Amino acid sequence: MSTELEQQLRAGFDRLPKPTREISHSARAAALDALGPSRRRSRGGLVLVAFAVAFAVGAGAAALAATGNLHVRIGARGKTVRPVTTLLAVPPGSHGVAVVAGGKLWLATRGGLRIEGMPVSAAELSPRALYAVVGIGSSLVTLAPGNRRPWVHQTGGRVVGAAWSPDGLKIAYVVARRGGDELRLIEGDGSPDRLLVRPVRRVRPSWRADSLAVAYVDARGRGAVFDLSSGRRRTFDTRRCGGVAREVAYDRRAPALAVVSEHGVAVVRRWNRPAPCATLDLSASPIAAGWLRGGQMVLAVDRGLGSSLQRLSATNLTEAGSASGRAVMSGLAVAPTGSSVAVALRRSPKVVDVGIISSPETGARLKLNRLFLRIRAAPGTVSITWR
Amino acid sequence: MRMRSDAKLVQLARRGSRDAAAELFTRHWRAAWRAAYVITGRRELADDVAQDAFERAFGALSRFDERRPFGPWLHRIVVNRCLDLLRTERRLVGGDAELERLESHDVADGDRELLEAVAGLSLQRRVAVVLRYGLGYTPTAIGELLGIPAGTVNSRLARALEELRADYEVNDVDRA
Repeated sequence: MSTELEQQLRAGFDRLPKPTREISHSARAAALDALGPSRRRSRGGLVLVAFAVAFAVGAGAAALAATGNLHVRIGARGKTVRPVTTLLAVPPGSHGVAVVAGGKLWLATRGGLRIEGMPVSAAELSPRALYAVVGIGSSLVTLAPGNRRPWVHQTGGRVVGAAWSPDGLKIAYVVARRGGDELRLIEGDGSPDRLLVRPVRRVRPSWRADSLAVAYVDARGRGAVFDLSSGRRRTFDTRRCGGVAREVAYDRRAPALAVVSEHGVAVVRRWNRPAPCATLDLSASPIAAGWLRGGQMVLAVDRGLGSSLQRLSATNLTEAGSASGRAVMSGLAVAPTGSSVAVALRRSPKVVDVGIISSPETGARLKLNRLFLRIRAAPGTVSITWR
Repeated sequence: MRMRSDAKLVQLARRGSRDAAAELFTRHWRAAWRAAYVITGRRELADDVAQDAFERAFGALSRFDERRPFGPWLHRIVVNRCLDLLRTERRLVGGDAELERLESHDVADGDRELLEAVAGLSLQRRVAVVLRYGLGYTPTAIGELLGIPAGTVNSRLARALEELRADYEVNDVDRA
């Protein structure tokens, strides 16, 4: 006989929330794709024709093989190679790399921390890649190899972006909250945690090289900086430079901030001086920016029918080099040395290649010089951290 | 129109019928997702597990024994994926139970406490409760699905109910 509690359990399960329409749709498509192409029964006539053609080709090939001009291999032809997830390799000369694509994390560090395909909302490596901080559900979690005990911090919302300060002592993160998304700061050891700004946009924050200021995008879509030493906020209106800001990136070596907007990019050095600004035509849209050694900026641009990687002079934003191609670029990170760039190129609608491109030269083809990860991932932005 | 059985749909899907596979998906998707949601406690993990389970099931359909029912096979994949993910996560974050709390913002108030109590159960008991009361399997069927004796399932269920009763009744007193 079923008890009242059992009845309540059954009723409770019946009233559980449903999966969203988007995930139901994408899961259905993925499941049907896993089924493979539909197999149709071959018709008798078609088989005969195929047999005759195969016989003719076979006979010709055998004749060629007999003369030594063709090597014949008997047996089933290998299946078409399906793209598979490759093991993430740490690029030479670096401490570690982390890639978040389609809500999953791939991470490898020289210290021995390795994660493949773990569902996360955001991830970032500490300087020298000794630790990783990841958003899992409504928690911010640090991970470390060996016996180093990580910490877990309840954030009360989904972590959408995190950035470890260059001195390794603090983490700035953006958390999605019902009353407005927040930019928060937590010490590297997990406490204390404090609110810096609310509301902000869901954009990964970026630290100034001296670890005393953190850049973010405010609720009105303007690039902004919170100065930790004075507690003051400064905003830069990017609406005159290509619209709403969608990414901020501080130079690792100098106090120069790139504010990437819908159709342009600006470089802010001093808040009381006009910032150089480059606007792109409406069909082009920047995806991400980074800083190369020597103060040049690299900008990944979506051009509708392809992408380009531009190297810009940071003083006046004139183009110093550019590589373009038909592949869709969905993420960018600059090497710790500032000499090369890692990009995520979409190989097909479901497969992403992440690898290194040496500094782009004018007229060059957008092509990976060294692949370090190939994964299946749904369309969307790919976040890369390279330490 | 007469509804086609799962076995018939599996047979057609194996021959390459995408319509049959789509019908199979529609029939089992919501239950699989909900099971993953209660076991993992988080929407994004449920999305990931349920989608992955269907991809694996459909990808391995050619090796599936047609004489066996499709539902329990799929649910076994769902449960195993949930356990794999949660164990990996637990290993990485040092076994902090806080991560596994149910994200219940979109659950009605009356059910939230009960589901949170379910989320507080040990993984093994939680799985047994989900299979029994969420998916409606008998203890014998759960035993077959998990590869454990029916007696073990009964004992897990009894202990889970005992724990839930204590927890839920305490909450009831608190509410009163």
